[in-house]
Amino acid sequence: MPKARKLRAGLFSSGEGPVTRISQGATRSGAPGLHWRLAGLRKTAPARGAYLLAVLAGSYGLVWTLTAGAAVLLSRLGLERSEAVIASSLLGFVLYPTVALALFAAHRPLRAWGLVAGLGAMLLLARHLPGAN
Amino acid sequence: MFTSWRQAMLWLHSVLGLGLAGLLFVVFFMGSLALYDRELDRWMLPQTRLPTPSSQVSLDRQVLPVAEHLGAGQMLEQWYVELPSNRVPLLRLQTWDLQAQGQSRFVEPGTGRVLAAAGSRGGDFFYRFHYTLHLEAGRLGLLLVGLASMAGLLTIVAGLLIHARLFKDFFSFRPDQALRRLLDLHNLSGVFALPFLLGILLSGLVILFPLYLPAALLATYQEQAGRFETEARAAFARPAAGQPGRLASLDAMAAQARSIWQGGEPAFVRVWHPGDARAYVEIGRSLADRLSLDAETLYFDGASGHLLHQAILKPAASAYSLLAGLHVAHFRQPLLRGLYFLAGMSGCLMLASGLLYWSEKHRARLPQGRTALCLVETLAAGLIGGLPLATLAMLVANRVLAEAVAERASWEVIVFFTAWLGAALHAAFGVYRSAGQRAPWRKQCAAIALLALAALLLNSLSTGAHPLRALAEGQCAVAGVDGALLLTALLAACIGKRLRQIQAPALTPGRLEDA
Repeated sequence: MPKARKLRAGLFSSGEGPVTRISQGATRSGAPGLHWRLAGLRKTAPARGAYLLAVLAGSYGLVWTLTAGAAVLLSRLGLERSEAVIASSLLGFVLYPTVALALFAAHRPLRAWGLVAGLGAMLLLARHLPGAN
Repeated sequence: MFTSWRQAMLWLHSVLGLGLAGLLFVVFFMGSLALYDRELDRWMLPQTRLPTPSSQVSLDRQVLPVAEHLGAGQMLEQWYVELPSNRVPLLRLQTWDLQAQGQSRFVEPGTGRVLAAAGSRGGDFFYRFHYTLHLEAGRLGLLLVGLASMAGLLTIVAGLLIHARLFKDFFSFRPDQALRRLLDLHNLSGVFALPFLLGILLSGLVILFPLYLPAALLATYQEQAGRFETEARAAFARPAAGQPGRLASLDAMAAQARSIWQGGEPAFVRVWHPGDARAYVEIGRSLADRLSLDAETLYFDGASGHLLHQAILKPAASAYSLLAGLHVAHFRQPLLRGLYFLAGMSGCLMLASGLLYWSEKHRARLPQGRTALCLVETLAAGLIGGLPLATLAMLVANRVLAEAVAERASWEVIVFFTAWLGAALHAAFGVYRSAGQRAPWRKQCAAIALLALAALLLNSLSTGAHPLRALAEGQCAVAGVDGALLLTALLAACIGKRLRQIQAPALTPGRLEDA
């Protein structure tokens, strides 16, 4: 039971391992270590607020790229330009809340951001390939 | 950062909700009023209280002469006439010259009499306010509304995810516990109108997608963004010839339109390049019998009256028109419009109860967080009490200001903002003066009740149309607004009386119970 409790405590936390006296960052002098101080900082309101803003902006950036890519792809597949624009824009508005909430509540933020950045980069690259537009 | 995803959603819901509740309250309140913009026009513009025409309006005999008279001596790019409907018993005629300078007039259908320029913005003020916030410079209002709408979507979805026991929470209402009462009211009002709230926020964003998410437009049209609208609407356009020409019978074109639409009625007629050899006529169908904004527009050659083009929307454009139509609610059904209004008010109640719940929860932690509590309580009072108060003050000014006053419409707007500011300052003063940082709710309720009654009485005195007489004369719009004013006064009085009966807990001897 204690082991399961520690595992649950590890999810959504700052990514530390099982809590022990040593990993709490207590130095030989007894002062709180850097790791422990950083973990505390992440939970402050300004840090959370900054993360929220980053999520909102980052999600918008990804959806922007996705929407533009989808419109270009659809028009290249034969759909009329105006139809491609409307369809991909509608999709963008549905995707944005999904992406933002998923990113905000991600178990592993670094992995989630990595996925977002990678996907965005791939789409940008695909759009700038010869004959993409 | 959070110990669980539920905590993350709870934090997100609280922060976004608190941060943008004010903006969203304004949008929802004004949007709910805008559902009855035409009815408010009848109330605020007494000269337009005319009976609905019993026969079809003749475009050739009743509209064309007036349009030519209004546009006399000018080179017009277009003139446009909105035909009467069961909500608008008049013709609305607009002209634009080649420099895009326009003028707008109401015309009495039976006699062709051009009514004097309206000394009030009428219901159009509330309609435009709800998506521009009266901040036109740099489209700031539009951008803020878009931001608030997207945040609102995120907040609602996060709020849904918080409630694992959605149905149990929905059916819970604990009126005996103040804090739980507010939270239950927040949940109840939110869940009651949930499909409406999600749909109205999403459709509001979609309507202005070229502003909020222009990525697809820029990627696909690049430097030709102006062509998107013409292609999406399947519209027709051609330049003027620069040579004089005559206009064929508009009535014949309208009859042809009715035949193509299989019984549909024209809602508007627009003549492009009037007096030119290449003039063409655009006729749009009435949206009263449908949800979509697709007007199945027809384009006729001005000189011959032959059909040039029929706008048939493609699937994505049709979907867009449906979403936009669900938002702007041009349909005729009064019951559905009433449901929209109730759902909009439920949205306002959800936002208000959320703010008040936050205030009550943080009041228990006093003296910690006093500044934040004062700000939120002032914001809540400034919106929940101040916005209705300002609206009523505007209606009172509409009845009090003389017709001959210069810039009368602008003066009404000044009264609106002055009353709103006054209510907010009164709330702030009351909050800071009060021992428990409580807003002067009772006084604001009293002011709302008095203003609503004043507006009702002034309408009766200034126009002779009290509610019963308005009903007898078939002026249902005027009677409806008067009825709403009476209900508002009763509701405000009841709430004020109830607040007086609720005893605030005395924390220390001698402390004031309320501001």
